[in-house]
Amino acid sequence: MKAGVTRFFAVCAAAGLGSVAGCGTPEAPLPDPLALATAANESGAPRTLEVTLTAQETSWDFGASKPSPVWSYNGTVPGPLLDARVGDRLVVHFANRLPEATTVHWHGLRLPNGMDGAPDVSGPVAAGGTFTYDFILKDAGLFWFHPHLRTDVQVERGLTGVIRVRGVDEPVVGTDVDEERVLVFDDVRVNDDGTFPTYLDDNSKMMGREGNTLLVNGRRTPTLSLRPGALVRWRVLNVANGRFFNFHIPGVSFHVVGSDGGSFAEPYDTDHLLIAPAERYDVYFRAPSTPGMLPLTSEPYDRGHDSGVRPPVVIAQLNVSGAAVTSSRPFPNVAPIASPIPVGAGTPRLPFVLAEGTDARGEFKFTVNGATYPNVPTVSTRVGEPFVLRVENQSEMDHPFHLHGTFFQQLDRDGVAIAAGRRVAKDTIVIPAKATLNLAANFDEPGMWMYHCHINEHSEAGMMGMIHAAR
Amino acid sequence: MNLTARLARPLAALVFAVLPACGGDDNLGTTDASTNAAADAGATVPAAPTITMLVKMTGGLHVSWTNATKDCDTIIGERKTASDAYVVAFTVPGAADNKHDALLTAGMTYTYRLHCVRGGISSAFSNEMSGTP
Ligand SMILES: [Cu+2]
Repeated sequence: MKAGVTRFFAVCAAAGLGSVAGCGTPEAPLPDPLALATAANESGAPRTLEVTLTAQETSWDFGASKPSPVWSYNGTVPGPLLDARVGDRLVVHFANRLPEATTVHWHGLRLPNGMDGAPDVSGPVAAGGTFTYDFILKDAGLFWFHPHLRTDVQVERGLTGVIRVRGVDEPVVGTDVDEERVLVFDDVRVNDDGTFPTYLDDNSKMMGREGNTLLVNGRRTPTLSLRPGALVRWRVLNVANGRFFNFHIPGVSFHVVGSDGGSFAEPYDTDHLLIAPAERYDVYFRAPSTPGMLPLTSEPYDRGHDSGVRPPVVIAQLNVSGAAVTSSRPFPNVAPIASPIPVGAGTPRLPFVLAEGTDARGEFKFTVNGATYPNVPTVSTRVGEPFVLRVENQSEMDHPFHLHGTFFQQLDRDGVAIAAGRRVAKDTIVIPAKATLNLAANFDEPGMWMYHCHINEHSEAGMMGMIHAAR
Repeated sequence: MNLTARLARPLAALVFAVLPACGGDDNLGTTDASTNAAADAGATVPAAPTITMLVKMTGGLHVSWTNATKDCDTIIGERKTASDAYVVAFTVPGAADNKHDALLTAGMTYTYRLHCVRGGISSAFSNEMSGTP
């Protein structure tokens, strides 16, 4: 595994351990504090990844005075990284050892409807129950898994994990890039004693709860080591309930090559990378050539209700140190994965209107087409027939819109077309406040497919519905 | 949400008065009170909270404040109209720093004040702030 070489350099260089036993050769890398846990492959069959996944109560140190009573997959926050190749079969023997029902939703994956972890399709997995998820990984990309029941609470308490599905022509660490990392960004709100708050205030109901502790791969404000001049690939994922991250590293430009399940035909460069809850981005950048410490910050972004004028927050520190990289590798060429979904005048258009308000009790509600889930009327389409989701956001804030079971491609925003080179296979996209997006999609599996806002407090407060894809 | 936003967008909402210190936080969220105050606070009168913002939102008014006492048991919010006396509008846990007051009449002006209760002892009332949903 090439990543081991990367870890050797990063850890030994950062720790200044060049002469210490174990750091003298790449064969004996020290543990990387930001390494994600893995799950052992129990299958001997080719092209099969078979793992056991257990949702369970665990203690996890978020930096409070005591460890927090988290809910985790296999004992870590986030849960294990499942590493596979496109076309592999994934078999997950899931056991629920939580005190309540849950499901596992495989976010972004195209799979059979009954494997989707939607509780109203395949039923919840009761406390003490088990379920075997078994499907083919059809697409390359970075995906993740999380519960789809009481999502706001269960995800907040730590139930997240990552699936990296490698494509056939992926850049190779050590040949095409100097380092690759999967970085899971999160925030969690814990009391001084490590417990989770029992009361959810109205700001959190409106904006989605934002934590008082920022996390990278489950670690609070960690230090990431980079070699000067290194060409770095970061595959980033936001699993926060409500927080949008707007990444910035002083003096660094991100070369954005993909998002969710696709690659851009025309990558772009930016010094600020906005990532909403549940989105993923695939970015490259070159580490500064001068050694030193740099902050990775999340810069202000106004996602509505005057949320945009808060100060930047530091998420992590980057320690640029060690032997400089002089190879000056170019950014790899990444082939676009998705071909455009054909849309014409006769393509069906399904309208979805997102809105916010209060109910008769004065509680916030978040609606789709005037109703809250499960009372949102189901709309219908047919497998293999392209359609357009016309998503109009009438509310005062952004909503990251997620569709299960297939990808979509953004066609336009408020009537302004998206350049063909920037269309990409997305499963989660920000519908900005007061904006309308047209999204082309096409199911290849029949069933009842959920769509919802991925601010988890919003989906739980009603902004969720179903699309029926008929054969 | 933040003071600067209000100042930068005068049309956005409403009336308020503000403490300079209330900008600049990261809205890191309401956590539960961390100590059991009643036991060790004795007969000390807790300090009053301070209302920092009153914002028009989804047909109601959103009240935000800062807590001068960290370990209030509850924060009690009262509201009145021009013609009526104060009534209790909401009671929230002592670490809360915001509440949405939804069931209001559009166009009517409402005035709010808060107090903290700790160990059965009430603080003085906060400042008042008025707004119109
Ligand atoms: Cu939303």
